[in-house]
Amino acid sequence: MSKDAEILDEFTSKEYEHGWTVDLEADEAPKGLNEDIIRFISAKKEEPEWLLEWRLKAFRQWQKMEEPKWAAVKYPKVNFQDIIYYSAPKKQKKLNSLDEVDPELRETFKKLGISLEEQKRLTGVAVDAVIDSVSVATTFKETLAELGIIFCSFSEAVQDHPNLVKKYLGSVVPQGDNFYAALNSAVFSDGSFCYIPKGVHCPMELSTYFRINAANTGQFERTLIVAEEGSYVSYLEGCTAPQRDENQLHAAVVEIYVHADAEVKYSTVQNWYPGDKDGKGGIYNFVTKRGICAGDHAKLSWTQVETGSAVTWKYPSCILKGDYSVGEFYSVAVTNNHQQADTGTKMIHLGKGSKSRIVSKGISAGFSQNSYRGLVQVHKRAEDVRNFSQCDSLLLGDKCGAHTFPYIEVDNSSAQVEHEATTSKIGEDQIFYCNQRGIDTEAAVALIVNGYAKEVLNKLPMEFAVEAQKLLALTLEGSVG
Amino acid sequence: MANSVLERLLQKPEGNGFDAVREKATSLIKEKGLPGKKNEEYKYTNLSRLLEKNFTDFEGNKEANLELLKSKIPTLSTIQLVYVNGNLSEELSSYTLPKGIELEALAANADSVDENADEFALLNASNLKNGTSITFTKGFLVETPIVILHITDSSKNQAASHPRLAIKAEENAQATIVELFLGNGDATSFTNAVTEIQCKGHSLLTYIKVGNENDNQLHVGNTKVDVAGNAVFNAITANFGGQMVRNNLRIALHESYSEAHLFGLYMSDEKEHIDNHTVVDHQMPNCDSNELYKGIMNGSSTGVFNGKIYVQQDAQKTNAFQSNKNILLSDNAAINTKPQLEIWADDVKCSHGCTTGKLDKEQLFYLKSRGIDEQSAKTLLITAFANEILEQIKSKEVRAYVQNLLHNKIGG
Repeated sequence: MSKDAEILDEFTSKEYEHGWTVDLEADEAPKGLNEDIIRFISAKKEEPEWLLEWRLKAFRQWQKMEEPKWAAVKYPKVNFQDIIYYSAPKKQKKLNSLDEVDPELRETFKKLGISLEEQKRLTGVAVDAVIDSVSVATTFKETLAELGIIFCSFSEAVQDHPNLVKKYLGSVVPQGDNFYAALNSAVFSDGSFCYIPKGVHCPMELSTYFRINAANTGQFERTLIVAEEGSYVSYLEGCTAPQRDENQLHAAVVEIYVHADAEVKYSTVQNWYPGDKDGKGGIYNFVTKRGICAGDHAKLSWTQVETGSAVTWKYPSCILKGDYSVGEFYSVAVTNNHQQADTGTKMIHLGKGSKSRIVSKGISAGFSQNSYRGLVQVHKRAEDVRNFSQCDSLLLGDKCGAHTFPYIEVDNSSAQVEHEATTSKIGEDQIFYCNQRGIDTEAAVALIVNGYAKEVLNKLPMEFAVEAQKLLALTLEGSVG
Repeated sequence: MANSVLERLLQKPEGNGFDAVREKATSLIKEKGLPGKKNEEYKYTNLSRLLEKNFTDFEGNKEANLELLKSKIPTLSTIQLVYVNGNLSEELSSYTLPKGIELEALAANADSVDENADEFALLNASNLKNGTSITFTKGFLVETPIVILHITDSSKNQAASHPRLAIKAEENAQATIVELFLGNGDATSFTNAVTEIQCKGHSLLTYIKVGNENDNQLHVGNTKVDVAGNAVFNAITANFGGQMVRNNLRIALHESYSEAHLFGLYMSDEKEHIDNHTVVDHQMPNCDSNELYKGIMNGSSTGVFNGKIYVQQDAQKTNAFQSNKNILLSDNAAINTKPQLEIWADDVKCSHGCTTGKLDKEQLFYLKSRGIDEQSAKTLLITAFANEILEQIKSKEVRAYVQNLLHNKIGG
């Protein structure tokens, strides 16, 4: 047992590796939130009148709403008037090549190990890098443009493709959907927009890296993905953030609209600053992610690896409206120290023969709390629905918690819904088996945890799988392997 | 919101020496109010609305038609105590008690009123006028099951009853107790029962709760169980109807090496609504719990299941298993289920599973291909599904009685 304690100690004392700040001359809005701030953001971004109205409508709804309290997470109350709702790097100009990118910014990417050049050249990933809410570099745009694919920052999309944005913005997550979605709708700074035309198979993985940079800057990203009939896209999102003592709020919204026969695969690796070992600091991650399979035979797949943030509150959901549509959710959530994660999914079955699959793997260590909260809902007219959910939790240490809250609501007798969950610690006999074959305990535990998460990690695209495995290894290093 | 209904429910009977309990519970429930839809625990079962809508008179039925009721009483040779609208009926009861059983009037004091208790348990306490306490004395094995029968009779007018029962199994005692809830009459009635059970060290207690009420009856049952070291507690809950039924079964394993086994069957049709909430609270190391609940929903009825397993930080080496299986027989039937695990200890083995579907087409086909008609084949499959629970009832006589209720339900 003392060995375990040592290992745990080592793990808990490990500092966040990506902790530093880059001084970018930020162009900030004054602290606080009121209609003037929203007008300021909208004016700053030269937005059309309808979008300003849309934001104001969201703001008015938000004012009437209360912060949700049902999640199994505890954190000090957020003062929404103490947040800067807009900040942008000052020197904004259109960039065509990487040479034009701010050298300081590129330094940041180098520290993170994301070399734009290398990514561009070797991996074929188009990277839309977002720092402090404004896109500064967009690559591979031309290649994509040839296929008719639009992949750009949200603000560019507002300028260049207003009709598309107007049509789909809020179609999946309406302004008044929930407290944080309403807040996001009112003040969102920027984000990504992606449109895949009919029948186009996007030849490369699309990727965005989010970073939270200037102090006291709330991040309110908005992502909108539209896949037209018969198209395919795999979209990646990954995050790391510099170390800060003050809690930072992140309330993003991701909307995905999938038309008939189209398929969207959305993958996330999240590694924001989780706070130090006493639970001080860290990011509050309150995200609304939802997609709709609007047409028949549409497919939407969410894959997430959650290792960061002090508090995570995130339920990527699928509305399976089309007949024979498919929704998938694969998740690995790792919490350590005083991290809290309340995450899961919603599968709303409206279409006939719609299918969904949920695989959630939680790993908790230290003093952390890790919850799965999910809803599987089968509506009355949804015939022959099939759902399978599996939620496993692994506990490392006797001070952490793992909780499962699955809601299953079935209104149609032809539905076949299954749910299973297990909670346990790593089997002593499994470790013994490895020890016996000359594998030390640390390596054995790493092996077992990797095997445990494999089902989900396998769902990640190649480029991400490597990073995710690194992250998992890093988070678990010292604690278990 | 439901204040007026509360006022009526809170009418105080005179005397009986339970004034302090009633007073405390009344002030608590007034403060809390009855749970509405916003209450997570009662999210799917909004009793307050039904109580509000359907009750004009909570006075209860003062005079019951005993002759008529007699015919309703199952002919079980086991020991029977019969309560009509919450009052012990000396005429209907038969009580020649074997050795090892002590029967007393309930003693209660205000300290026993828990402010965190379920709202309906508080409502029961605020209406406390009598109660029964059954003790199985140390070291005795009582082979005959004790049957407690509650009849809510609303044949003359609306009736509400708040029966209260305390069961104690002393060290090394072994016994089986059956609580049977039946209804009679066409007017709306409301049964709000509380049963408190204590299992002392090394005891073995089987508690069977059977509900077979009318479509105009509302039922809330709160069963709270404390299980001490090395004791084994078995619960079998079977419900065959009622307009709205809610069972809260809360079991605390508060000493090491204790065990709890929970089995449940709920079968509803027409517009019935049956809700089972269970909590198994593992407080100490080396305890086991095992839970299996099965539901069959027909007509436009609704089933609700919520099973919580808590494993506290001290409860290492816990084994806790839970399973919930549901069959929907008609297109308008619905099930809302929420198997929930909350675990704060690491050296544990916990799992839960939950399935919902209709009768297996291939099994039906198999039977039909052997010349069994569709209706019989269905009956066969449903009976087999339900019997996994009912077979847990060891007493042949009681099991036969409950299986008969099942057959009537399938047939009807």
